[in-house]
Amino acid sequence: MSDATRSLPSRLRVSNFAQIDEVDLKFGDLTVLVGAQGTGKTLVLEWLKTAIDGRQLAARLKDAGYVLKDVETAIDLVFGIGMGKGWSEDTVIKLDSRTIDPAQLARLGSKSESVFFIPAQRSMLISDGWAQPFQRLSEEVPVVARVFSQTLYDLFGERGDGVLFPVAKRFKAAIRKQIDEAVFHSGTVSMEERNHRKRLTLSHGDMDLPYMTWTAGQREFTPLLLGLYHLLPGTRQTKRPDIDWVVIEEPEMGLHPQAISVVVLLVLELLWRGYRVVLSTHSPHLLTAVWMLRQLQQNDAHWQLVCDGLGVPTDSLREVAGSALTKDYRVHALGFGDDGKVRSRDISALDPDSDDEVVAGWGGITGYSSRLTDAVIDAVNRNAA
Amino acid sequence: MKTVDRKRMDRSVQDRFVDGIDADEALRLQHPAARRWDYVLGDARGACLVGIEPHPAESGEVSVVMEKKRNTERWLSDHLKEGRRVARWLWVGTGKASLPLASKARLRLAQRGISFVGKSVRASHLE
Repeated sequence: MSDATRSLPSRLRVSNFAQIDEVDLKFGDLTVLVGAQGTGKTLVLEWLKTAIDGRQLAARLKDAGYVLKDVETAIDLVFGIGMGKGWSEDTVIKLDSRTIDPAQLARLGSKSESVFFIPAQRSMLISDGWAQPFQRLSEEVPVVARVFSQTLYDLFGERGDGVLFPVAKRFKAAIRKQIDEAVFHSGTVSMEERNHRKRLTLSHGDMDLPYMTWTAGQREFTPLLLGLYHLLPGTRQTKRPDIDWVVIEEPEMGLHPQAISVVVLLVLELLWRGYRVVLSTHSPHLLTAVWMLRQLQQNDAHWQLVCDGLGVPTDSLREVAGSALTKDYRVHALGFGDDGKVRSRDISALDPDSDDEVVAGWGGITGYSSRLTDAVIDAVNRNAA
Repeated sequence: MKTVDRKRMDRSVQDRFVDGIDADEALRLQHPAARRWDYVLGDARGACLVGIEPHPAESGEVSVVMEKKRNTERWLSDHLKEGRRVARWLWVGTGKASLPLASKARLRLAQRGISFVGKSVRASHLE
């Protein structure tokens, strides 16, 4: 693990919460969670945020007029109304050796927010081309989504009218080019006045397209991009000093593999800058990128192969690619047992030849599609008779 | 079967193969220059024929393995009893590399009826 992240917590354990029996995550520089729908990936990531930034979450909720009177209330407000029932007297949450007590939410963490969380609901938060501040969203929305919406609201307010992409000095030129080729295709994302209101607009030549007319991928990628702007100071600093963690849920949503490769590049840039990144994903392409990085490390490969694998010119991202080969990559699979409870497995080896089917099938990411190929193999060989 | 190749089968399945031919050697005289599949074995438990090809696990070798199967299947059709066929064609990877499940190589092989089984043939590959 890199020096920049060595002092950060290295382990999160969630026991007996909602459908989770036992999830034990050891973090790398990049940690990826995989698992079927309903296995609690979001809950685990929200516990990470709560354990590290509880104090800030409590402050925001208090400013919005909420009363944190007991554990169940705290969990309802952080995870979404109804989730308080997931807490029982057997629930244990530990960050390294420290036990996390949601009744003491206001005492969890340090003076500033350290976890920047980009939630799965990100495109819905700007569905009419504008973001809502924290207080305008109801308690039915998980607090991580409300916090991210506030970040976007603040960004839109700062930018006034102006271009949001492409912007010089925001990302390296090679990455901006990849984003353009994969997502926006020479379009310009900006905040424009329309019907006396400021709204996100994508402009192609004479066409100015409102947000809801964009492609699904553009609608998912834009809030992700804007969130990442928050993490890139644009000054001589390589990272915001107060933020150490970046959590991104399902960064691949709505994206073609070409654009997912761009997301991988952005993640590698964050790692180079010294952030610790945690992702959840259902994407075989994204996980294959992690497999590639681990394989290149094991084979003492040259940094140029990182660029080759991601389809970028080798002379443009030497530092980021070289840094990528020094990082620690961890992958955990969350899955239901026969008892209907969820447990985690460390599948970081991502070895397709493993005797352990969970490891070989990457926690189901490739395991399910192998049944499809098995059916084809069977058909071909029966037809040969 | 050469000893080194027999060891590429998990111990739990070795006893299933009671007979077979080294197809590579058997067909060498007739087709010396052509690519030939290595082994065709009789799986007693599965009551079927299984082709086993130990071969370097590199995506660049996919076409070679597919050609081996194509050639061998054609030649065997002259020798097998009516209605008999090789039920499974298994590529066992030699060397360090592998073919990930989510790869074009695996899909190409599947379209030719070939399973890449990794470094060892296990019972699950014979079901």
